[in-house]
Amino acid sequence: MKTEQDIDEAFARARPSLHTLKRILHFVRPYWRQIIGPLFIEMFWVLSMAFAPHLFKIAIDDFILPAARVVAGPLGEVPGWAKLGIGSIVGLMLLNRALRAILAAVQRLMMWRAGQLATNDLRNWLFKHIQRLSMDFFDREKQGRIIARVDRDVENLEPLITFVPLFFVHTIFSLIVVMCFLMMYDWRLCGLIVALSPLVFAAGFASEKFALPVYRRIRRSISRMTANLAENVTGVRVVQAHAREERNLQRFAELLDEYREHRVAGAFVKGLTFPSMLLMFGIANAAVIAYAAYALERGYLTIGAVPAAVMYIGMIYGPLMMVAHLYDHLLSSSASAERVVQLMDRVPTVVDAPGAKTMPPIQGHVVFDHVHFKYDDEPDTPWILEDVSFDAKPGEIVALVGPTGAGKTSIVNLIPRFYQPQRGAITIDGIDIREVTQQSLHEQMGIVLQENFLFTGTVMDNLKYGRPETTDEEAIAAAEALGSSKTIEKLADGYHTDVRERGGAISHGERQLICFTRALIANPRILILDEATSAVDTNTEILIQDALWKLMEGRTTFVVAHRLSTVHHAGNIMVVQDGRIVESGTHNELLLLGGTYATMFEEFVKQV
Amino acid sequence: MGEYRHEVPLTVLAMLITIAGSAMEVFPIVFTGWAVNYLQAWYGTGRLNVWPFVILIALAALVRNLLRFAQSVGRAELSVRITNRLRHRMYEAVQRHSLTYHSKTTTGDLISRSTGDVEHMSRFIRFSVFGTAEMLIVLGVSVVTLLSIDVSFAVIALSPVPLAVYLTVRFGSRMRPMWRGARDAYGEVTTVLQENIAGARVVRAFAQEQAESEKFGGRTVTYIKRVIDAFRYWVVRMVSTSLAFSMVTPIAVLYGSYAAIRGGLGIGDILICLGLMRPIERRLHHIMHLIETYQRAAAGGERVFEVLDEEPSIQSHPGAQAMPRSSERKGACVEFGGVSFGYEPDKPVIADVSFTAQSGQTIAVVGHTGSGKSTLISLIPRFHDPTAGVVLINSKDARDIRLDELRQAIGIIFQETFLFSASVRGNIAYGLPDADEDAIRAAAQAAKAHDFIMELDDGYDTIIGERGVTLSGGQAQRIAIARAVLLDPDVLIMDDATASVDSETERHIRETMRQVAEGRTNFIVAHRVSSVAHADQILVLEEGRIAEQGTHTELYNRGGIYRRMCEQQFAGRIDED
Repeated sequence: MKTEQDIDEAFARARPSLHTLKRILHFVRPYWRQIIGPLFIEMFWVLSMAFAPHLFKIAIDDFILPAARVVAGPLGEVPGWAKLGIGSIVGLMLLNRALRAILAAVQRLMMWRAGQLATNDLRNWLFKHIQRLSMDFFDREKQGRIIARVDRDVENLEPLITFVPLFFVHTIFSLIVVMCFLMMYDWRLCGLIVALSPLVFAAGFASEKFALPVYRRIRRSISRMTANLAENVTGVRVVQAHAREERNLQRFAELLDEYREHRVAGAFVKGLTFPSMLLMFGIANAAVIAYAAYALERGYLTIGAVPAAVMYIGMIYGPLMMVAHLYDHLLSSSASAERVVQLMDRVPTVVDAPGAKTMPPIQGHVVFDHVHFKYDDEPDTPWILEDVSFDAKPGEIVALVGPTGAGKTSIVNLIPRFYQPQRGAITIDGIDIREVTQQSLHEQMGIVLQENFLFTGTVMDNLKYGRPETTDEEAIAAAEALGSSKTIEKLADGYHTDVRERGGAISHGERQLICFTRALIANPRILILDEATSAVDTNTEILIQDALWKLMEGRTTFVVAHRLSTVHHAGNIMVVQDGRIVESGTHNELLLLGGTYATMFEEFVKQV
Repeated sequence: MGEYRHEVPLTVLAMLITIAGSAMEVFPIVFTGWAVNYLQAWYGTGRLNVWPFVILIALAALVRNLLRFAQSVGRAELSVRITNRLRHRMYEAVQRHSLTYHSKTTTGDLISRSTGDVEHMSRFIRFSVFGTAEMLIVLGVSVVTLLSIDVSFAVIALSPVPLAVYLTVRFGSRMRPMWRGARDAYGEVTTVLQENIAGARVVRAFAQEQAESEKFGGRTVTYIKRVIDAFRYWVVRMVSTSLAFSMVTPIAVLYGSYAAIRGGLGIGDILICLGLMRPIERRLHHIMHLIETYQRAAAGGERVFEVLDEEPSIQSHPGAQAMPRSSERKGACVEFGGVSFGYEPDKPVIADVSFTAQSGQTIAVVGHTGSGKSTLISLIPRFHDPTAGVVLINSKDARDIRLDELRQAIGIIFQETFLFSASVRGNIAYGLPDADEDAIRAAAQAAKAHDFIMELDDGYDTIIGERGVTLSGGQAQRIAIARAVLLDPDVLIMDDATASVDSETERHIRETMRQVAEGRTNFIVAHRVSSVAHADQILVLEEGRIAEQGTHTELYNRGGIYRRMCEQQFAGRIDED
């Protein structure tokens, strides 16, 4: 727990790096047209918006004020030239507004769509990336954390792609255009506005120092809540069995409290940023009025320029505040971006060698040559497997027996290259498994694990899992061959029974039978049964024994078992103890040897 | 709603700040307009003194923004308090729902409901409740200001409102199912994600990475399509209202210009009108945005309340009593009277099961895969309630006993070991968090787990991975046994718990179990005759019914199913010699 928190803390202090930005931009690039387009529309939009105050100024200086001088009283006739002038200005204003409304809609739609598509690509890429990561990643990372990154963090990146560039262009361009108009009226006025702007930026960027860590803490808090929730949903049975609901709720309440603190701290920072900028806006407004009095006296400005200047200030301060808003998005997104990129940068510890070949059809000759292995790479941790060597002939049944924790599962985990041994080599048919692609290797392997995992979908979907092109008839035939068809037919909807995640409706044994059939349909060249029959009752085991024989025929099979009854048929029994193979041979050979196996067998016989 | 009562003071305070802050919004605009009027009227007549206006504008801005700051913090505090309560209740509900409920839902779906959907509701509270107040105040103050200048201005400014309301109502009802559809599609995306992380090894073992990625891609495409459809619809509505509003400013300029020419209004008055158009328009758009967030929140809310409102099918009823203890402290008497149970009404998994387990007895449940063994014993701790019949603990209906006491009196060792991401100590003390070190060590020793725990890097402080990955199956199992033993339960249930450990460990465990079985009522689910031969009573289940019942010798001599099981298993062993 401690180390995890340390990592989180370090993470919260780091600034978003260029590397992070590059990695994220990679996913935006394919949509650059859909993003550049709206950006150009935005420029046009800003330009047309900036014309409105100027039109108003013209109306005041050229028509309203001159006409007011000639028209006397509330009932006076407005002269024709003024009518024409004001009429055409109002017409232009109407056109301008309508055009802007349509442009804004088109642009939002384009931009938003691009953002969704790009984040979706990223989400899919991450998913594929996770599929590529080696098993040690799943051993170490909490499920909830991985999910939060692909789920919430990616969703949080969307503003980075859409709002951020849009606001950026909007702000810069409005500043330029507005400055041009103000320059045209009076360079001193322009100078005054320019002189006041840094205050706004200062207010926004001063909060950066506080905002970034706060946003990170918020996200981390959310991630913790999700992880806690996920664990308690998955283990709900254990929770209920131990009546731990109250206690867990207390722990969750602590997490909630922590979240509230961070969230309110976030609002505090945010609450300081925006109002201080708005205050600057008010001050700028006051400054313009103060200057106008002075400028009018000296004739630097016309009356019409005063309301226009007030409007222009609104036009630049609005976007400048959006910069703060954008910055706000940027901060919360960049914390997410970093988490996402951290996951993206996770390198699979087991990778295909450059130019890895496709594994040719496997005959099944598996050789371990002085294999040393441990799950981490720390120099001082002991080996899990030490100097393991053996030679399994094609079609041979190899049984691995030994006490709990001896390393049996670790040995079979190395055959499909789930992990990479630190020393020694593993060859199949004389080919080092490091030289072939994992895909081609896995395709020819069948593994039935003790923890039988079924996917949501029907039983039929699960049967076809390893070979989706299988027809229903073929799948049923396979189930019949294995002896699982009766059990499956007895399920609520037979082959079409919906397998829920923690399906209470399908028992452990039934699930295991489905897993067996799934392995049979996949038709592997090398079969690994890791404690596979331990949850199937003896009668069922006997029932499928013949089918298992059929399944094992012509395939090299590795059987990991605690129970000797399941291994006595094996052509080669290897006794694993403390990460080493201490004995190997047939059942009778090992009995004659009078070593560990003989002792184990005596223990076993005693139980009968 | 009662539990939200103590948020009332904060709500009222936040609301007052919002009202005051919103009312302040028009002041800088009005003061600026007055200043322009003053300039128009007096320029050319001598020295202009605009300082009163300058000070007023700056002061109004200052007050307004102080209020804004207070408002932002207050609202965040309030919305987090409310949604946290919701999250808390959600978590509680998820934990309390019966296993029957959990067997019908997926983890991913429950998680997305408790996180994303709750978040949408939180946004709704922040924007809607206060947004509405702010909107009404700003609209009200702006309209009053316009009225005080010129009635026509107010009329022009509000003219698009009927159209906006019409569009909102018309488009509104269609938005909600669209957002809900999008959220549901997203739930599907999360499910695939969750499943692939939990079943990572299986995916790799079958080389299905590609297919899984395609499946995930397919789900995301559905989500994207729905969400883009919803957005497109929303944008169409936006543009139609914006077009309606785009008429307003030019018309106001037209009217204002004529009035200014005739001397009825100052230029500053037109400026005020134009200045107020923006807050008015923004608030009217806000109504529409509100409806949109309301729709999202309502869609999310529906999904949240589906979980909250579903009454846990298993809970202590108000009159539930304490766990009845037998006087001589020799376990508990467990009695099944005509018990039936099924996940679906027409498919009974357990049918009319009756038996009595006396205090201190060991009952073995054997039978084929799928015969209902695990389901049968899961009725004792009330993971499910029987659909017919009754389970009696010490002659009291299990449903009348307080659920937490009942479950604390029962120790269960599950077939599939689930350990939490916590230290070994934390896992063993899971059911009894206040247990002292000696008790924890004693439990570990009883489960033969102490030795290997001491060999771990940090001994009892070693953190066990999410699914106990760093431990072997047998080691995890032994920690689970220690966890059950620590409870010192009256009833101990082992659901085929030794199936996954080697013979030697199994023998040790069985010896241990025999020791810890002392003074308790024990249930053993097993398929191996060797594990059940010593039981006081053996129940042979077949298709959810008790087919045979008796001791090992009785059943063996009867020559039925049990005899056949024995012979088959015996044959398997003979074969080995």
